[in-house]
Amino acid sequence: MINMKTRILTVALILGLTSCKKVDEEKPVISIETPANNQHFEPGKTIDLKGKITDNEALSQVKIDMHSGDGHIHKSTKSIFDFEEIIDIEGKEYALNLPITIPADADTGLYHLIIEATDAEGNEAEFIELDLEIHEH
Amino acid sequence: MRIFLFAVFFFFTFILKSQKIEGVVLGDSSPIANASVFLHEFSKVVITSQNGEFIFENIPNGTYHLHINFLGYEPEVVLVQSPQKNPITIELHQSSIEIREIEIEESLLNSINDNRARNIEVLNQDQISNSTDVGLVEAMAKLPGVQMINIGNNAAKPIIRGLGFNRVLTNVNGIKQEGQQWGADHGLAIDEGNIESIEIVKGANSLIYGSDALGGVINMHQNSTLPDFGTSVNIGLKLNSVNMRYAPKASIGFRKGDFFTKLSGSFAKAGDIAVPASSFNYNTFVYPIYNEQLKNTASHNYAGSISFGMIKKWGQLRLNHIVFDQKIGFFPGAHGRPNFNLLFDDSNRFDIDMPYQTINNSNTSLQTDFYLPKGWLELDVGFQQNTRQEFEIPHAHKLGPAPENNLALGLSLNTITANIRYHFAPGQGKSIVGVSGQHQQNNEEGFEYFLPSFNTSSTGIFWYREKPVTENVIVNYGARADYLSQHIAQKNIPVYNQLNEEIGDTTLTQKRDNSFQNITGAIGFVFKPDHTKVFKINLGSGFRFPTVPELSANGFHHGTFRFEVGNTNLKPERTLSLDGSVNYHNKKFAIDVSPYVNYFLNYIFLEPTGKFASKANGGGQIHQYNQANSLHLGLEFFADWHIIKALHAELKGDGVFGYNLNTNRNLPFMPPINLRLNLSYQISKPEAKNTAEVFAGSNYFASQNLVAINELETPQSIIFNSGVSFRNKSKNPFQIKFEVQNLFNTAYLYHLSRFRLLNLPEAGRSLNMSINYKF
Repeated sequence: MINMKTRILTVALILGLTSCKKVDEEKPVISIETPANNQHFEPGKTIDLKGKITDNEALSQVKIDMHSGDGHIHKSTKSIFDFEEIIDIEGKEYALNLPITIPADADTGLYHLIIEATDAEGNEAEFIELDLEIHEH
Repeated sequence: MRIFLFAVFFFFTFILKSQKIEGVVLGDSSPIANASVFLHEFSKVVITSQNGEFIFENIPNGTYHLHINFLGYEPEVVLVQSPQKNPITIELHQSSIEIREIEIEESLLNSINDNRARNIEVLNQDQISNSTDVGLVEAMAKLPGVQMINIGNNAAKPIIRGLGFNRVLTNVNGIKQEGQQWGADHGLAIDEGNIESIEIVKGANSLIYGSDALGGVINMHQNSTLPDFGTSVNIGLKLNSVNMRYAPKASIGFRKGDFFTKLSGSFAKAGDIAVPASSFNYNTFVYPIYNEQLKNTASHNYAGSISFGMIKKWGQLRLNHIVFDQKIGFFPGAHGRPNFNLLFDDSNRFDIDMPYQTINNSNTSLQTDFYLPKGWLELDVGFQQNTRQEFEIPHAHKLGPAPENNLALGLSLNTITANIRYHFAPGQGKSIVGVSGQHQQNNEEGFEYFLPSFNTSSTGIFWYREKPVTENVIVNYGARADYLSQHIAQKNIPVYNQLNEEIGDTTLTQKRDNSFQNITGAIGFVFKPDHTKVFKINLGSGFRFPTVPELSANGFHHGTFRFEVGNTNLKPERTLSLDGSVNYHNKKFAIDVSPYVNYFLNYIFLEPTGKFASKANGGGQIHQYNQANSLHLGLEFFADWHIIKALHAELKGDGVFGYNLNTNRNLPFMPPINLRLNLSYQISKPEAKNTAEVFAGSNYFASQNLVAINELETPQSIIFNSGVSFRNKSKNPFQIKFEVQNLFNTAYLYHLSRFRLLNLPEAGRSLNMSINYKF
């Protein structure tokens, strides 16, 4: 009787350990067409952010963040251009098409444009970071 | 309470009859002269006579431990009863293996390891002083089954059997250390200058220690040995080249009659850590490391302690006070995303710029043990204050007025603890009945938010029994019940419009009262067929009440780069743990193998949501706390071989796997399989007055590919170390050790390092030295 019980338990344990459902470990992939890295823009103009985000199963969100590239060390926070947008996305592929308008009074200098994405399981894509220059002509 | 105190004082007034304890020490059936016999409870030593005899006079009735040591023999610990029926005969066994004499200071009065079905590692005063490692946790991480999370300079967190944070419990002088253990960038706030010995009890052990004793328990003691009679001074210095660290320490002890006192102080200052790399790769970018030094990883700390003690016929009393102040810089790239501008060389290796954290910790405790007619009563009370502050330049993303200062996150935690335990010996073996209580108050401040202010009260009661079943088998078992209540404060923050006008407020954490209870038990067996073998098997259990961050956090955790959200539905986490060990030793060889399995119910973990937090809140993917059943299995081993008398080889290793049974994913922060080999050669005879030793070793980490979601895989690595040590064993002992760690300046990644996320290599070659002198 004990033997039987042990056998059932062992089989159950082995089944329990081996019959695991397959988990999605594949990260989404971000590819950006425009803008190009180190591209220059003038205040008041629009950055055409275009690209594609793909996943093997289901996408969840994309986050677009543009901020000053001079680090967190500046004291005046008012006139610095800062942009953020979080978009819910779904399916296996998403065409990113987002115009970002630079205010006419934006501070000039180096900016970072960061694009991040996740899938429904929480896998994080390798993010894209672009260095953009805003300067007057 | 008052009635209880009366009862205690009533017992003291018992005049206990004085007796003597006597016996003879034999080796291969012939008497051993000059062996040392230590009566632990009274901290008294006698040396055996030419006939191997010893005697202690004026000993009250009770049960005591004798520790017998003689060079070339295994140390022995025996239990004696006073009054004695007959003088005791103690037989020592020859061995050239340095058997680790293992003691558990579960109170001022001792217990013996071999009767407990637990796996225990010990670092004694000598090992702590002689190690050339950067800190206490680094020294502990060399023991089998123990690893660490490297946070940076002078700070690390211990990991025991793959579990860390709130799953490892640290006691200092019998009081549970409390200092925001949940935090990934909060190290253990204890300096080695104030600690004389450390025991690490591996495996789940909530029966005696309560909540959080899941991976293991670290017991640290300020006074594991009493100072010599008269006045004695210890001085020491440690140097490490990799971060230009210098750490002097000194202590003065005084003992007269039945009174002793000790005062100690230590200081450590370290510069930026040198790494064997001039750049690192993070997310397709290559970032520079100027001068091959990690910017702003400098640190310094001050620590001090004072203690007073009395050894009386009615018992013992100790009053301890420890302070620890630390300031640690954060590598700017490891406190948020790396940024080229923040990595420029600041041309000063020792300055600590923002971001940095400060830790102020103080621990005051009163330990008392009272002899009673049939046992002893232990009463420990402690008060701790822990303040952690993170300073940084505010981010420019938020609306509303700019913060007035640079305090990002300030947490101050006050804890009062009391333990009462009655140790007694009904019939054979021994029993402990205990009650413990703790009250905590936590306050938060700063322009960032992570967890609310709260207060908690907890209490536990347990019973433990240890008794011989047959001549060779000892059983131990017990049961425990715990209760915790929490009061979590509401957190509101103002909301601003684009014109920076306040337009109302929003709630980050709701006010909430929680209560939890838990019942647990354990049983274990020890089988000692003869003095060369010990088998242990233990079915234990552990539990942990959910922490306030797990229930109510709502903010960015810089230590993990994640936005964490609490879950108010969490239940206590529990584990059923089966572990065992096989130990064999003869005159030249010793081996110890310990496998274990933990089955977790309601294991608490952070689950990614696939959603982002806005950067005004710190950014990062939002992770929510959740719970699931998990499985955890592992093994550790230790082998020790005297190839010839002077040549000694030591091999240690461990491996652990963790698996979440609901999500079918690996658990995070799992140490890689690792092996540690050490060879040492004794240049002089071990019994000589001056001894010298050369040593060399290597440490191999297998690759870790069983990773949690979004965790990086880590390739295998091997590093080497070598050194020489010299020791003078006179009345004023002197010791000096030189060691080169990471001998070949290997650039390697360590899976549990905080720098792993950034592909940053660990510390490079370091020339280390330790010196100790006593007079």
